[in-house]
This record gives sequence, structure tokens and C-alpha cells, in this order.
Amino acid sequence: MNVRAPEIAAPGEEGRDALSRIVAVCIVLVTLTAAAVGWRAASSSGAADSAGVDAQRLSVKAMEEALRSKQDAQLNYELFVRTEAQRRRAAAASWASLSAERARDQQLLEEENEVWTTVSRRTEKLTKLKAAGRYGPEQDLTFPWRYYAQSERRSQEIGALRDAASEESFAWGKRNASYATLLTMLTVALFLLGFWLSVPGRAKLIFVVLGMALALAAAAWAATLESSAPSRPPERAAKEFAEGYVAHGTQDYKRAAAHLEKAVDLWPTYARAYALLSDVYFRRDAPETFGFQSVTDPQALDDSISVLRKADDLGLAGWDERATLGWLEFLLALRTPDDAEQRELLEWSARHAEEAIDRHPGATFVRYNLGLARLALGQDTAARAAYDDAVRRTQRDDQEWLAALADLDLLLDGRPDLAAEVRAAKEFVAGSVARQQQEPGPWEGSLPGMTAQVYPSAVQVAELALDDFDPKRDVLSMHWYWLKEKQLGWVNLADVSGFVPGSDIVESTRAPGTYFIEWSTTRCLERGQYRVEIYVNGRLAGEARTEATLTTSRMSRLRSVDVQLCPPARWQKADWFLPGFLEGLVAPDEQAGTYVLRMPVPRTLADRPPQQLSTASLDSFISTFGELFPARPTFDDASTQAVASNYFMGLSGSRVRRYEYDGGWILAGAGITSEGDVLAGVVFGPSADFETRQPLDIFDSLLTTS
Amino acid sequence: MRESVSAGKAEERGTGKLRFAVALLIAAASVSSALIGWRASEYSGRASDLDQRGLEETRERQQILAGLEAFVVGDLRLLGSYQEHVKASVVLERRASRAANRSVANALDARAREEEDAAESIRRSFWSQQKGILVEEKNGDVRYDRARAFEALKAEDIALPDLHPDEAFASARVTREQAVNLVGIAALVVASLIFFTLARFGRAGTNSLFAGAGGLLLVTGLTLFVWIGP
Repeated sequence: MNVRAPEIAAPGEEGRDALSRIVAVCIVLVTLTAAAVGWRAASSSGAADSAGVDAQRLSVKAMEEALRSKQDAQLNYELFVRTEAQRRRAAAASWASLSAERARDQQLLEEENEVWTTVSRRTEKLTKLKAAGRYGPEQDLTFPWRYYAQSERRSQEIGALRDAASEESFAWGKRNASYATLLTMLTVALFLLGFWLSVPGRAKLIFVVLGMALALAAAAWAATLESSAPSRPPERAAKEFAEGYVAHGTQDYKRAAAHLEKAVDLWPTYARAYALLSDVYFRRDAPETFGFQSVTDPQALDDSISVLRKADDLGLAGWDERATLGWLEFLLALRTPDDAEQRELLEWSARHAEEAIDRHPGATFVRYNLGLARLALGQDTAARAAYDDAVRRTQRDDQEWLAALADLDLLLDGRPDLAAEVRAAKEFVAGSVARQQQEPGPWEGSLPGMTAQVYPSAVQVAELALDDFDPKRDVLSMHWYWLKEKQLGWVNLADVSGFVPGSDIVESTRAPGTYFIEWSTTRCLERGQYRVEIYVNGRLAGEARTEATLTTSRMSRLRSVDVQLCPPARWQKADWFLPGFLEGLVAPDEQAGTYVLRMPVPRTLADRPPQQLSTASLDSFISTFGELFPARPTFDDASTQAVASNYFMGLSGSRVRRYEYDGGWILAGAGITSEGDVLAGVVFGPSADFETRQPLDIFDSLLTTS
Repeated sequence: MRESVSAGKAEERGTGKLRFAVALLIAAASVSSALIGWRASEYSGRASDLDQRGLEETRERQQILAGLEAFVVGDLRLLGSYQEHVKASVVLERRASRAANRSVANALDARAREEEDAAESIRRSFWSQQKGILVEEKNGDVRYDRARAFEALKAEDIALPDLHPDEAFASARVTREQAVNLVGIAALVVASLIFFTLARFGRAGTNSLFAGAGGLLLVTGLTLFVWIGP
């Protein structure tokens, strides 16, 4: 092979040789850089694979942990239920012993009571779930959901670790793509520098300059890449997320916010934590804690939407996040004074609702939200179509349509100009859902004189002139709303809203010819404005408002006697406790409190009429258990005469009486339950307390849970 | 003039030798890079296989453990009922022995026997029949050693001893590192190849520089390859 000899530097070509050497050194450096980048690319690919495998391994572990913790929680719950059943058997034997006719039977039943009491104590030790514990039924009205929620701590932590590994793998993969680009740049640079060998004249300089520029750019980029490396977020962040998740599930939103804020501080790119934090911010300051939570404090709304947008930017794009984002934008739009900005937010709200529906067509409430956004945009036809889709998917017991009516009120508050459209939409929704129940008849009446009354744990609508109303033909629905503060807007009270069965429409004894409906709530109502709407066959027939000045309280359960009530938050379990018979709550100084007694009808009183039986039971209760009160009480005839009503817990043959002791009063009521037991309840306290509404509110809040 | 011609010839001969040596080095570097690349891909493939095996073993292990856990949970479900009957039987027996009324004592005793029978029928249904797992005390308290029951079931399983996902993942990690190192060595050898090519076809003034750089890289690469393990 005849190879041409290399050019030998001629005189005057020193400058060219110097350039040649520089270019040669550059080629060496670029080649070495390319080799190093190739090696880093292989190494980052390995790191991506390794993190990806870790993510898969953690995913399996998270699933296994979730299953195991659910099983454990279920086991503990089953043992708790068994303990409760054993306690009830003990109480039943004890009751039965009171009415046993033969001494032998009585003794056997007392023994039975002892056996079940001992067995229940032992079974209780087998379960981690305690009645008075943090997640037990006495502390948790949603029992056992908070208990189940807290059991997910470990699986959520592992799930977060899986997300961390997955994120790391993704980051390495992304870096790998950068290395590929770098290699391309360096290869092109080498190619251009290589041209220096073959191109004659000054043109070669262009290639050298271009090649060097590319090589320098690639080197700078490589240096930037190498200055930091993808790393896995700290495990502490996963722990904080899991704590936040559990606190969210147990409705402890302040704690949840604290943990999740720490989680996002430690792991600023964790989209799931931002989405959960958004929900926490919204719920933490929401007035309503049951059912759909539609409104919240303005600052909470800003915080909530800000972190949800962050989650959105980080790529979290589930239907739920889309739906929530759409709803938050709707709420924000209502607060926005600028018309153009409001319209833009409403457009976004509708768009996000549509995206959520695309991903999850079964989410009925999002269809209602879409209808609302379209209505606000003045797109009546599109709004009607969305509402039509929504009501066709709504069952009569669903809560979505109840919340949808309240949401329409929010729109009305923000846009009074849409009053006619809002009313038409409400009647369309109420009427359409009513028609699913039965085809309504032609009821054309109205209820102008109806009144609303709010008690601590019940609501009542009265003076309903339902002359032509036929429960077999007509459909009546009742909708309660509560306004805690003007800036928050009306919220629907889902637990006392919905279709009213004919049996709940009761003729008033005080005003014959009119009817009333009274429903119990599942929580203690707070002070504020209340509003009730009555729809008959989907047509708004009447509306009433009332202002409630209720004392602050929280729902408590006296499980042993199957009673719930709304006492002041600081009251605690009384030391006096006879399982199945007597249970109570007292103030820390024991100068005020409440007791409830449940017992089978004593044989000696069995033949008396119900009212007399109630009266005798009350007197017997007060005299037998006189030491429950700060001083020995006596019956107060005068103030008993002044008692407005003998209504007590909806029991039959009920009687309400007042007793007096040195320095205080007792308000007492008794009646016969549907199981045939006597149920008696008392509220006592210093005379000064009885000058306020508090004792009466507590007394009115007593309700049976059986 | 003659001197100058012979010096030129000698220089030409020297350049010719260098070119020949560079050609040989190009061939050696090409073969080496191919060999190292093949070894790197071998290691990489082995690392992927080990990862896959680790994942499969993880899943299989979790499946087996979940199954065993289900047996223990089944026992724990029975425990509540078993405890109830055992405790009731002991308490009834005790109260029967203390009862003053013979008729009451007989009735309590009969109830105690019923509870005992019920307890016995449940006891037979426990999966874990090994001694020390289900312990019944004289006062009727029953204890179930969950950890021990689980360990006993694990010990009896024939598939678990062969499943070591953590070891597979650790091996995969080491093998992957090996593959990455080999890729690095291959890059060095490929770089040397580029230098040799430039030395072969480049300008006279830089030939030796390229050849030297290439030779250095090739020697370093081959040394590392031999050191890390072919």
C-alpha cells in the first residue's frame, strides 16, 4: 500500500505547526472528555436501573404491608366488637336478674353477669382498640375509620419510599438523555476538528473554531451536570408524609399540615405530598366536617390552590386532582372582582372538570361542578347538559345532589344576577332526582308560614301547611344549610337533608292541620344562621331561616346506655359508672354534669300507665342516686309546672321534671324506649348555670343511638 | 546533498516503522475494545438478570409470607372465640364450686362443661398446634405467640430457604458496577483508537504525540481490564 507521507513543515510554516499542535491537543482533550462522558452515561444508566429496581421492590413491600396492616386492624376491630358483645351480655343478664321471679333464676343471672364481665375484661386485653382510646368510639364519631386510617402509617411510608426511588430513577434516566446529547456534541466536535487534517487553506479555521465552540459548550454542560447528582429524598420525608397521611385520615388537620409541610421542605418535588397538603389546608378551615366540604376560609383557599398547582406542575394529573383544581378555581372565581379574570378562572374550572370526567366518567359530583361552572359562564345549554348527565347518574340516597344545591347557593351569593338561572337549576336537580323515586303528582301548594328550629343535635321544620300533600303521590325533600360566617358562604348539612319519608311528616298537636319534621343530626350543631328549603315534587315550596345561639359543645357517647349528647368540651367521664345501667359526664369540678340511667321496667311499677311510670322512675332515680349530685335533691313542684314540654328524647310516655338541691338545679326527663326499657336522663348544675341556655341545650341534645 | 538525501531516507524509514507500529496498535486496540465491550455487555446483562431474579424472588417470598401470615391471622381470628369459651368455662367452674345452692352449682357446672366442649372444638381448628404457641393458663387466660407461630410456619416451608432476593440484588449491584467500569475501560481503548488513527493519517509534527497518547491510553485500559477481571 502506497501511503502518502505526511507533510513536512516547510520554512515559514511554524505558525501552522503551532496551530496543528493546539488542535491536536484539543482533539486529545475532546476525545478524553467523550470517553469520560461515555463512562458517566453508562454509570447513570446503571444508577437509573438500580433505583428503578428498588422502586419495584418497595412497591411489592408496600402492598404487602398495606395488606398486613389492614388484617391486623380488622383483627383488633373484631376483638373489640366481641368485647362489646360480651359487655352487653353481662348487662343483659344483670337487667334480667332485676325482673327474675325466682331467687334461683336471679342468682344464676347474677352469676352470668359476673362470667361475662370477667370474660369481657380478658377479651379487651387482646385488642389494641380501646373504647375510650384515641381511636375508640368514645373519641371518634366516625368509628372505626380513624382507627383503620392510622393503621396505614407504615404502608404509606413504604409507598413514599417507593415514590422516592422512582423519582431518583427518573432523574438518572433524564441525566442519561443529557449524556447522550453531550456525546453527540463531542462527536461532532471531533468530526469538525478532524477536518483540519484534510481541508486546505483558511477554510479549515472555520471548522476548528466551530469544533472548539461545540467542545467547550459540551464541556461546560458536562461540568454543570457533574456539579450535582440526582439523589434520593431523605427517608425522614417519607416518614413525615406517612404521619401527615395518617393525621389527614384521622381528621387531625393541624397535625397533618405540620407533618406535610415538613415533608415538602425535605422533599420539594413530591407531588403527592403537595396534593394532600392542599386538601389539608382546605379542610382545616372548612366550617363543615361531614359529607362534601365545599367551602373554606379565603386564606385557606389561596393556600390550598397554590400547593395544588405546585402538585400539578410536578406532574400529578389524576382525575381527583383535576376535579379539585377545577372546584378551587370556581371558588376563587367567585371571589375575584375583575370580570375578565373571573371568566378565565371559570373557563379553567370547566376545563379541569371536563378533564376529570374524561379520566373518571363515574365521578358524578364533577358533572355537577361542570354544570355550575358553565352556568356561571352564562352557557345555559351546556350547563343544562352537564346537570342532565349528573342527575341521570344520581341515586336518591346519594349526597352529591344535596351538595350541588348548596353549591348553587354559593354561585348565587357571588353572582346575584344569576338568581333566576340558579333557582331553575335547583328545581331541575331536585325535580329530576325526585322523579327517579316516583313520578310526582300535580302539587301546586306553597308553604309560606313554615318555621325553622335548631336544637343542639336536631333540626325541626314546623307549621307546614301540607293540605293537598299525599305521601303516596308526592315527593318531599328537605335541605338544611348553615352559615357560620358570611365570608364562608352557606354549606349543606347533608345528615339532615334529603327525601323525607311520609312517616317523618308528623301532624302537630299544638297547631292541628299543620305538620312538622324533626331530624337528628350526627354531630353537635354550632351557632350561626340556619336555612331550610322544602321542595315538593322538585318545586321550591317554602323556605325558612333561623339564628341559633347554641353553646359550643362536642358530640359524646354514653355507649353503655346507648345515648349520645352534646356536652361542653371540657366535661369528662364520671367516676360513677354502672355498665349497662348508669353512665355520665361531669365538669372537672363535678359541680355540673349529666347522667343517664337505663333499666328494665321494675316489676313493682310494671302495671302503671307510661307517664306515671316515667314520673315514678325519675323520683326513684333521684332518691336512689342522690349522692351523684353536690347535695341531696328535692322535687321542685313550682318549676316543674313551668316546664313547657314533657318531650324527652322522642320516648313514649315521657315526663320532664325539675329538682332542686342546695345551690343548684336538676332538669330530669324519663320515658319508655321502643325496647321497653325506662330511660332517664338528668342535667344538673349550679343555679347560675340555669340562668343560661347551657343546661337546656345539653338536655335537648340527649338522643338514643340504639 | 547526498547526506541530506540519506537523512531524508532514514527519516522516511523511521516514519514508515512508526506507521507500521501504529497500524498494529490500531488492530490491537480494535480487538481489545470489542472484547472489553462484549465483557461489559455480558456483565450488564447479568446484572439485569440478577435484578429480575431478585424481583421475582421478592414477589414469590412475599406471596409465601402472605400465605403463612394468613394462617396466623386465621388462628388469631379463632383466638377471640377460644378465649371466650375457655375463660367462661374456668369462671363458671370456679363459681360452681363456691355456690351455696346445689341447684345453682349444678347449673353452673353444666354450663362450664358446655363452654369447655366448645373451647376444645375450637382448639382443634388452630393451624399452629406446636407446643408453646397457644398457651392456656390456669385462670383461663389464653396467650398466642404470634411471632413464634409465624417462625414455625416459615421453618416448615420448603420453598423459602431457596429464596434470597437481597443477595440477588446485592450481586446485581456489584455486577452493574463491574459493567460500568468495563464501559469506562472500553471508552479509554476507543479513545486510544482515535489517537492511533490520527497518528496514522495526521500531520508529521503531531504523529508521535497522538501515537504516544494512544499508547498510554491503551496500556492503561488493558491494565485496568486485567486488574478488574476479564
